[in-house]
Amino acid sequence: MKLDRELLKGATETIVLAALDRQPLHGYQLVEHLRTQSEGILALGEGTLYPLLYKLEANGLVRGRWEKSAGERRKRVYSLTRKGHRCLAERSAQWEQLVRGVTLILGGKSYA
Amino acid sequence: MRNLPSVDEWIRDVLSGSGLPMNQRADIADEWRDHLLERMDTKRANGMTLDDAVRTALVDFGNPVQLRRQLRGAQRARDLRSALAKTRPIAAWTIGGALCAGGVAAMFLPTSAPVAHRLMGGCGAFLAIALFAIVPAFLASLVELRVVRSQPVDEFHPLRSFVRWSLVVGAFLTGTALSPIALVGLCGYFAPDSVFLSTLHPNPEIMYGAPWLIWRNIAVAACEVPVRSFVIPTLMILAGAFAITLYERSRCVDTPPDDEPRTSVPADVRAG
Repeated sequence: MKLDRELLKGATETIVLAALDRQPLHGYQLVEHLRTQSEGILALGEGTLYPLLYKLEANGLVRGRWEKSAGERRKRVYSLTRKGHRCLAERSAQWEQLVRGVTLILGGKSYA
Repeated sequence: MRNLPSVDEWIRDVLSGSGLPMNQRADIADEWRDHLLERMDTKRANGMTLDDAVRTALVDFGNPVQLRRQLRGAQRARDLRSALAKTRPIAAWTIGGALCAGGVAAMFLPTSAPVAHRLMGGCGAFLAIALFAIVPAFLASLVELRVVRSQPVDEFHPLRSFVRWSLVVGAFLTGTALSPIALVGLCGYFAPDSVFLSTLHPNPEIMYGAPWLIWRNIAVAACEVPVRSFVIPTLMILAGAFAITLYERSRCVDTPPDDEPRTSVPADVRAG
């Protein structure tokens, strides 16, 4: 089942921040990481991911820097800034509240 | 596989209407090209032909029109934010500077000038120096933006902030206090018959020597009334720095990160 775009919209920044919290990643790794970690449920397209990364970078939440390993192409690797860590903590707290509230209203019942 | 004109052309096409600066555009082109090559390597490893790999990788990457629109929107928002961030302090410093300079000009005009002319001179100086104060205002704004705001929002040191702001405000007030003297001096030297000088005093010949009279008046005032000459400006500087430090503290402690709604997140979660 494909997720509603609007439903996903509010969570994309949080899941990107959470992915980068574990380890610095470049764009391709990030797309793959989100796809595999969410078991294919949150397959974020590159067209969504890159503008989002640039926005997060402009807001000082992530930092991108070029890295080059031996025998590889140079890659732009993104990591979380201190402000990004703080933002992630706030977002995850809000997310837990939201999930709790929605679960309480749904009452554990499936409407599918 | 490393030279793919169709990929480069696609990226160039998307970025051409994005409104991004050229250096940033080149960085993004490198990044996207690397991403697409990696994606194509994976597809080819799964048995796809090169043409199919290129085509599907570009389709997977996203709609070029939407991508361009998103990048353009983000860039515009960034430009606007940057312009607003610069405009507000420049405007505030300019108005403050013009007021201070006007006051200084009215206070230290030659005592031989009639009161009406002194008042008119103060008003004239205010209008003229509003333009003249842009230079110290712009410098003070740059200091504010580059030095003071460059520190992370969650790092606030009251004493350090107060000292920095005292230096900024002190330098700014000194600059704006000197600007009317410099302005009158320049007018007297280059345009002794100017309207500006005639608003200060009916006799331009007296105003020609006005800068020296102003300097002399300041020196006399400093000797005769040291409290007014030194303590009051010092208090003004300290009060200004204190007010700005308080404002900065409120920004650091209460303001959530950009684009974030205000929320009541528990303190332990914030700290974590």
